[in-house]
Amino acid sequence: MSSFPSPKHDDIKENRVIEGLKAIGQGMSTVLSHYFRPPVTLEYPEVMPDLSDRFHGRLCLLTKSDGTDLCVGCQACARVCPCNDLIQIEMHRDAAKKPVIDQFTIDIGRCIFCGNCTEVCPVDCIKMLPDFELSDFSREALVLDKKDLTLSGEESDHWRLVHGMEPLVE
Amino acid sequence: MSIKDIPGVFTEQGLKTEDLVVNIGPQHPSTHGVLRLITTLNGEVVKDMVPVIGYLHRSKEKMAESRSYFQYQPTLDRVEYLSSFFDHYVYVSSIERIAKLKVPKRVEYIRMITMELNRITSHLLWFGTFLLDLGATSPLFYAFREREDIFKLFEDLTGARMMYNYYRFGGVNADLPPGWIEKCRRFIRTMPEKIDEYEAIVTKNPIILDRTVGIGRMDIETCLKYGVTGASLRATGIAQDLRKTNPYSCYNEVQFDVPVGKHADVYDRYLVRMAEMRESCKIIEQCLDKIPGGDTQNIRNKQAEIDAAKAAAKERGEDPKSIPDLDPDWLTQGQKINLMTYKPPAGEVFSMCESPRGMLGCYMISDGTPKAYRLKWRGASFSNLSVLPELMIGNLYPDLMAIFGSLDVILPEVDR
Amino acid sequence: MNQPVFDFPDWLPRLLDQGISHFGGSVNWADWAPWLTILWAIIVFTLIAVVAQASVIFMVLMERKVLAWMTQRKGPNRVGPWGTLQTLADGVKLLFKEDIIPKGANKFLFTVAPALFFLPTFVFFGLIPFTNQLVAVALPAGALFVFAISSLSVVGLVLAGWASNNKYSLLGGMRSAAQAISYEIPLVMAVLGVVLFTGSMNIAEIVKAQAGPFWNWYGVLLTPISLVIFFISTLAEVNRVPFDLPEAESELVSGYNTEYSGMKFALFFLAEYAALFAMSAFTVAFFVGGYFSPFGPFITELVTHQPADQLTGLSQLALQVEMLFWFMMKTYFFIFLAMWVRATLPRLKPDQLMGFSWKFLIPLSIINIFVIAIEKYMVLPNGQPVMASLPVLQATTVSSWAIWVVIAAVVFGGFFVLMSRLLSEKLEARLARR
Repeated sequence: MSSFPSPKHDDIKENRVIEGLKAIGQGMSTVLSHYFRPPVTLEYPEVMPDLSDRFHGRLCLLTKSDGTDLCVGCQACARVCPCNDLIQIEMHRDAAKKPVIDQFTIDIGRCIFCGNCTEVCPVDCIKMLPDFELSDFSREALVLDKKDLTLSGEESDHWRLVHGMEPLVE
Repeated sequence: MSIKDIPGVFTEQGLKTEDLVVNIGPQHPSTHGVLRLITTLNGEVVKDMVPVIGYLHRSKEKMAESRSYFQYQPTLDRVEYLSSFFDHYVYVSSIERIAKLKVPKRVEYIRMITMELNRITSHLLWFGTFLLDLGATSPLFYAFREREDIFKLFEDLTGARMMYNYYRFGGVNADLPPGWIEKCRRFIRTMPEKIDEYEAIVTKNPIILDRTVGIGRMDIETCLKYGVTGASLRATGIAQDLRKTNPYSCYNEVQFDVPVGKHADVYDRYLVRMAEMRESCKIIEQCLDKIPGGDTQNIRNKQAEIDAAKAAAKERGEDPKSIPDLDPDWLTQGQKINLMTYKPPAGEVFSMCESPRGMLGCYMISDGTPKAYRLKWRGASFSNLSVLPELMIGNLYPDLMAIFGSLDVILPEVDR
Repeated sequence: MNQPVFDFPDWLPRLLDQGISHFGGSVNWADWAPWLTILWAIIVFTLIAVVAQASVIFMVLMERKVLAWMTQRKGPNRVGPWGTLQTLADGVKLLFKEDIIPKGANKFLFTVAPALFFLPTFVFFGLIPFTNQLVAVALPAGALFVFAISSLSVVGLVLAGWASNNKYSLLGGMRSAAQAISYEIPLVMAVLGVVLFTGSMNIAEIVKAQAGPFWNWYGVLLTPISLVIFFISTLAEVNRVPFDLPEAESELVSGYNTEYSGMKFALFFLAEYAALFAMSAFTVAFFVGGYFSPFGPFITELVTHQPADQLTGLSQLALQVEMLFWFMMKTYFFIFLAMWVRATLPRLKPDQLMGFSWKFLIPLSIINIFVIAIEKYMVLPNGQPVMASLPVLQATTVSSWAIWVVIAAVVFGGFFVLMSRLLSEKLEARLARR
C-alpha cells in the first residue's frame, strides 16, 4: 500500500500563481514537442497495415493440395458458432460413402469473426485469412457460399506454409 | 400594473422560480455510452438526479443458458469491451474451479501479462476521454497512440485487436509468437516516459486542479453502502485490491504496490489510476522476465531436442519414456478438452478479479450439461454508477462531467 | 498629430504614370487627386477584404493542421495539395445543407443574429494598420472605437441564444454574454497602459511609437504583463479554449449555435476565426510593434541603403510588402499561440471563468496601470521608449529603471502572493467540507 504525494495544498512557500504558470508552460512545451515528432498516421489505402498471421479476417475453406474438397460436413463449426445459425451446411454421402458438400454458406454480415469455428474443425479446413476489406453494397452480397469461400490448392498450401503446417497431399 | 400583479410570478416568498428538469442523454457526447440522466436543476445546483439504464441490455446472462460453454465465450469480449481479458478470465477460472482443471504456470503468466496490458489500455482510454470531457483534446490522441501499440501486440498474439477470444478452459488458444516477449518488453520500457508526458500536461495544471480538487468527494460509508470498488474506493484510502487481498492467478509471485488516495475527490481518483498504470508496467516487466519457458522459440528448440533424443533412444532400443518430457508448466493447455461437448461437473462457484473498473465477478451454476444453468455477472460499473446521484445532489451541474468521468463507468457493463 | 484620416501614398501616381506613359499619354495628377483618393480607397478596402477572407479560410485549415501536428497526426491532406482546398469543400458542404429554422423561433432574429455577430468583426478590419500606408481608416480614437464595436457582437450572440427557442441555447447565450462582458474590462485596461505610453488612441500612432528593434516594442520590455492580459482576454472574447464554455460540446451540446445549420452556422464559425485574426492583429499593433522589423532597420532599407521615409516608387512598394510580411508573421505567431493553447488546456467552468476575470485579471490590470503610470514618468521622460537610442547608459536612466523594477517586483509580487493564498484557501475549504 503506498500513498503518492498529493499536491501541496498547504505549502505557503510554493506560490500557486507561479506554480500554475509553470505547470501550464510545462504542459504547453510537452504538446509542442509532439509537433516535431513524425506523424503516426498510416495513409490507408495507399499503405496497407501490416497484419499478423493470426489475424481474424475473412473465413475461407482450405482444400487439399490438388484442389479437392477437404470439408467432411461434420457441422462442428456450425455448432460452436455463437451466432447460432450463421453457418449453413448441407451434405450427402455419395456411393463410396465419401461426404459431398452441397451447400456451405456463411453470412459474413452477421459473423463476429471470433474464430471458434477455426479451432474445432477436425480436418483443419475452415480457417481465417488476413482480409478485412469485406464491404459491399447489399446485405445479400455478404452471404458467401461455397464457391466464394473455397481456396484453390495452391492458396491452401500457401496458407499452410505461412502457419507452419505441411501441405496436404493425400 | 407592476410586476407584482402578473399572475404566477410573485409568491409570498418572492419571485417564483421553478426547477428545470433537464434530460441528459441517452445520446450525449460525454455519457460514455447510452445513459439517461433525468436531472432536476435549480439554477446550476442539482436537486435530483435519476439515472435510467437499460439502453444497452443485450441479455448476456440469459444467452449463457442457451449456448454451450465454448459457444458462449466470444460474446464475453463484448460484455465490457474495454476489459475483455478480465471478463474472459472470470468465466474461464470459474469453470476451472468447478471442474478442478490444471492450469500450467506459463498459461497463468500469459494471462497476467495480457490482463495487465488490458488494464493499461482501459486506463489510457479512460484518461483520454476524461480529459476530453474536461476540454483538453490532445491527451486523447496521445493515449490512443499508446493503445495502438498495445493493440498491435495483441493482434500478433491473438489475431484480433479488440475482441480476443483467447483464453480456453485450462489454457490459452495459442502460444506466444516467437519474439513477442522482446517486442512487449521494448514497448513496456517506453511506457513510463509516456505516462510522465501525460502527467506533465495534466497533473499540476491549475485549471485541472481547480476543477477536480475537492469535487465529488465520497466518504467511506457511502462507498461501502453502494458497493463501490476499484480506483474509486482506493482513492478514499482503503487499499482494497483483489490482487493483494484475494490473490488469483500468479499475482502473489510478482511485486507491486497498490496506490491509495487521501481525499477521495476526483483528482485523487485520477492520480490513483495514473499510478495504477505504472504498477501494471512493473507487473508486466516482472512477468516477462519470469515467464516459465521464456520465449516460444526456446520452447520449440527444447521440444525439438527432446523429440530428437526420444527418436535416438528408440533407435538404440531404449524406452523413449526414460527421456523426460517438456516441463508441464511450459505448456499452453492443461488438459485436452473437447470444446464442443465439454461438460463440467455440476457445481456453483463465484469467481472474481480486479478489473480496471473494480471487482468483476462471475457466479456460475453448472448442472453437468453442456450449457450453463445460470450465469450472473457482477459488474463493477453498475455499483460505481449507482453512487452518482449521491455525489451530484447539492453540487453544481458543470461538475457532472468531472465526477462522472472520474467514476470510470462503462455502460455495457451496467446493462449487460 | 495632424494626419489626414485618408490619403493616398505618393508611389501610386508614379506607378500609374509608368503604366500610362507606356501607352503614350500623360496625366496631370494634381487635377486628378480626388479620383486618386477614391482609387486608393477602393484598393485598400478590397485588399483588406481579400486579406480578411483569405486569412479566415486559411486559418480554418491551419487550425486543423496545427492541432493534428501537435498530436502526431497529419491534418487534412486529401482535398487539394496538402489539404488546401479543405475549407472550400467545407464551405460548399455547408452551403448545400438545409436551412432549418426551429418551429417556435423568431424568424427575423434567428436570421439576423449571425449577421450581427459577424459584422462588427469586419468593421474593425478597417482599423488595423497593416503597414504605415495600408490602413483603411486611421481614426484618431481608433482604440476606443475597436472595443466599442466589438461589444456589438455580444448582442448577436445573445440574440442567437434567445431566438433559437431552446433552453440550452439560451443558457449558452447568457453564459457567453456574461463571459464577453467580464473579459472586456481587462482587455481595455491592458490597452489603456499602451495608450498612456503613446499619448494617443490612434492605432497607427501607437504602432509608429514602437519604431525600432524588438526592445522598443511595448509588450517585450515595457509592459509584458499587459501583453499577457490582453492575449488572455482576447481568447475569452473570441470564445476559444480555455474559455469556450458557450460552445462546448460535452457540456450543453453546442450552446448558442445548437440550432444553426448550413450557411448561418458557417457565418458563426467564420466570424469566430475572423475575430481571432483581428484581435491577434491588434495584439501585434498594440504590443508587438506592428509592422516593424525586429532587427531595427528593414531589409529593404539595408538593400537600398536609404532610410525608410526617403524611399520612393518601386522600392517604397517593396518596403510596403516587407512591412506587410512582418505584420503577418507576427499575427500568425499569435494565432499559432492561440491554437497551441487550445491543444493543451482544458476548459474553465463558468464560475472559474468569472472568478478568473473579476478576481484576478481585473485587479491585476488595475495594479498594472498603476505601475505603468510610475514607469511612464520615471523611465520615459518624453513619452518615447528610452531604449530607442542605445547606448542608453546614462546614470539617471539606469537608476530610474532600477527603482521602477523594484517597485514593479514588489507590487506584482505582493499581488501574486495574495492570490496564491486566496486560491489555497479556496481549495482547502473544498477539501475540509463534507
